[in-house]
Amino acid sequence: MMITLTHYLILAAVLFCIGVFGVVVRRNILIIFMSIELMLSAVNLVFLSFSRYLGTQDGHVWVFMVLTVAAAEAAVGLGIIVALFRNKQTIYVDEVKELKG
Amino acid sequence: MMEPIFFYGFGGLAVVTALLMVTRVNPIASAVWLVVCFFAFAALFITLEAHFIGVIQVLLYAGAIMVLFIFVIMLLNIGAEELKARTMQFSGLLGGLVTIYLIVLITLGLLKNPVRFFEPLTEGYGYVAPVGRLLFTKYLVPFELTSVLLLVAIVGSVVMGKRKL
Amino acid sequence: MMQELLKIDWLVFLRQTLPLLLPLGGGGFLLLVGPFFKRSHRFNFIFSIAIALLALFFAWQEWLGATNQTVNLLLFDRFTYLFAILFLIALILTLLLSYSYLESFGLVRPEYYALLLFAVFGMMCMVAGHDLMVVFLGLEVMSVSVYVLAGFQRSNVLSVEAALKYFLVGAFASSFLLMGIAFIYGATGTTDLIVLHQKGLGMLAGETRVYALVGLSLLAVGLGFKIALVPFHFWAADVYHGAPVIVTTFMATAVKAAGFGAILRVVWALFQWEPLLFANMIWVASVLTMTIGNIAALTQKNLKRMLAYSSIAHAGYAILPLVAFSKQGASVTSSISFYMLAYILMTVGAFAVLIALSEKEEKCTIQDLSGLGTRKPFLAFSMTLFLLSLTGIPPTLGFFGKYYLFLQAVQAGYIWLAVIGVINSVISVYYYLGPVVAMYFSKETADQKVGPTYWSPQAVLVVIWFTFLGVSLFGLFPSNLLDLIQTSVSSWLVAGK
Repeated sequence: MMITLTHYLILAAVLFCIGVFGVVVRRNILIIFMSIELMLSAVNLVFLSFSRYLGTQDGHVWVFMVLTVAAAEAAVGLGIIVALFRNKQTIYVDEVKELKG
Repeated sequence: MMEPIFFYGFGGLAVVTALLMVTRVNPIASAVWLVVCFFAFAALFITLEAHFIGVIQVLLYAGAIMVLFIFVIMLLNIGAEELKARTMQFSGLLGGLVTIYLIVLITLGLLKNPVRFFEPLTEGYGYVAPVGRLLFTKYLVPFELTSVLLLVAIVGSVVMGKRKL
Repeated sequence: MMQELLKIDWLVFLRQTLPLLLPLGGGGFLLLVGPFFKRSHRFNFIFSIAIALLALFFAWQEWLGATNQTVNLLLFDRFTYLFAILFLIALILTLLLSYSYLESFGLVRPEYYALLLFAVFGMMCMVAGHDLMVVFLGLEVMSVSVYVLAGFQRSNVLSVEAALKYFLVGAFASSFLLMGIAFIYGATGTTDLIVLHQKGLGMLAGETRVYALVGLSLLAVGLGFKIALVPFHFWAADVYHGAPVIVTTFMATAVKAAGFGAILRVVWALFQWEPLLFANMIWVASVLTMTIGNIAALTQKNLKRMLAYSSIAHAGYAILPLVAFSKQGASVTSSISFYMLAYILMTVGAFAVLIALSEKEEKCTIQDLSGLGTRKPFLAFSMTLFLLSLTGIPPTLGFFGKYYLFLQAVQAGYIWLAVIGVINSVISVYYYLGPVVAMYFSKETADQKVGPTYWSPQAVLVVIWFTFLGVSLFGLFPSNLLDLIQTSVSSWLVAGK
């Protein structure tokens, strides 16, 4: 049995959807954030499999960019979470609801 | 052929650890499962002949980003009694069903497409050198842009995180 | 590839990128030098204004001499510089609004100015990039700066909460966007917008269609989140409400215009894959967005929230002409660009009036406006003008903007769509006139009679005067402005073919 492009794409789609599930269902900000990181990794898997399939390495460059973006977002996001925790002492999004109306 | 063994082994590991990550109550446990998941990702990248990216995945994701996560979780110092599993009721069920539906939909859509086999490798594919060449010629501007992005991220995290400015 | 890089005339490249590099360099300079001038807010302020004006001047120079050249994934045509000018105008107006606000809320920090400049740099890259990679990274530079700006008032829970929500939604949307790009890369082997446009349908010979469609829909979801289209709009009201009002002004104008600029570039490259499906997606999103935005705005008591929902509704109006993109691309693009300019002027104006009233604490409820007509006739009158313009009542700039938008739909045979747009504008009269009624016809509360003398700093008044003149004069004589925009757009759309 050969492993084909379709195998990899389905695996990436499953992992991406698990990430989406985490973002939609969980209320813990840190875990939501980790789920987003999982989604970005699934994107990398798609880029690399298409890159392998097409035989061009542009996808690899894209993966570099995605990694950088993930790192930048992690830095800023964790900064925001720390600032929130100083104000509210909570890490649950459903307890953060001053804004309503 | 080792290929299917690697694919199913590491792919299965990635899916199982990802599921464990999104279902744990304690964020530390989640973070550790995510690290394992990223290792599985790295192995999958290597099966796709992207050796260098696989190494980077371990160094950067599992090494740097996850350490940052764990550091912040420790910094916030959330006691065990404050941890709540506050999902898994209606919204959890609904979310689960929608996710399964999405997965089935995408899988069917991709399967309808004729199955694509990977071509045999061309000489030089997967080496670091071609990636570097692309980065510094064709993608020079985006490469420089990432440095701006990182600068903005540094400034941003200082602005948000520092106690006194 | 190497040869190509060596062939670039770097001096020309430097001149072309000067409008982009100035904000970037200025922001970096402020970060380095700002700490030495920590006491001197004035220095930071004047320096950023000077940088923005200089960039505006060079952008205008380059607009005059633009040659549609592409250099290393950047496309220097008049459209790029047109949007650069829009961003810089929004930036200058925001800077003028910020000075006194930052002082009175104790937020004086050089980082504020640096982040604004970086955000504008990212926006320019979004519009200038002709590879999805540049567009995406520009988007990220902009978003990361704006996440932080939204939470800039760190001691205020509302502000930090807005930053958190904006960040989570933004990062979530980015991963959808990236997944879409990954599939488009898989379907076509490239992410270069010009190549995608040139090859067009030929690239989708049957088999790769599924990938292309998956990519297109994921990309649409990602971009829909970014410009807050229904059903991906839920975050906008909270974020606009929680952020400091100066940042809300920036988000509602410059960030939105940047999103539309990038969308126009992407649509130009990709619409021909599935023109019919694309048109259907657009009209559904447009009708939903304007209707739900307007209905939600009806019940708002806080003007910041009301303007947030109205900005959702305006995004709905603005994407409406895209249904006709395959028939009349150039005029659709210029109508949207024109609307963005109109929208920037009138929204900045409306927020400027709110800022003029906010000393020490933000005064953004309708009650705060009651009796303004007798106390501050000019503020009340200009607010009325901005709200009428947002509604789209002639002879304001907003009316012509909307007219050109709906005209495109009518010309392409979507008369019913234009009718829905007009009905929505009529609904919006109700909530836009609420503040007007409060200003002129409701009695002041006892508190307000004694209460603060409104403080209206000079710079804010300058902004109000500027937007007031812009909205009214261009409302009377829109044709020159429209000519200018049409020239910018047509050169791009002709050259790309």
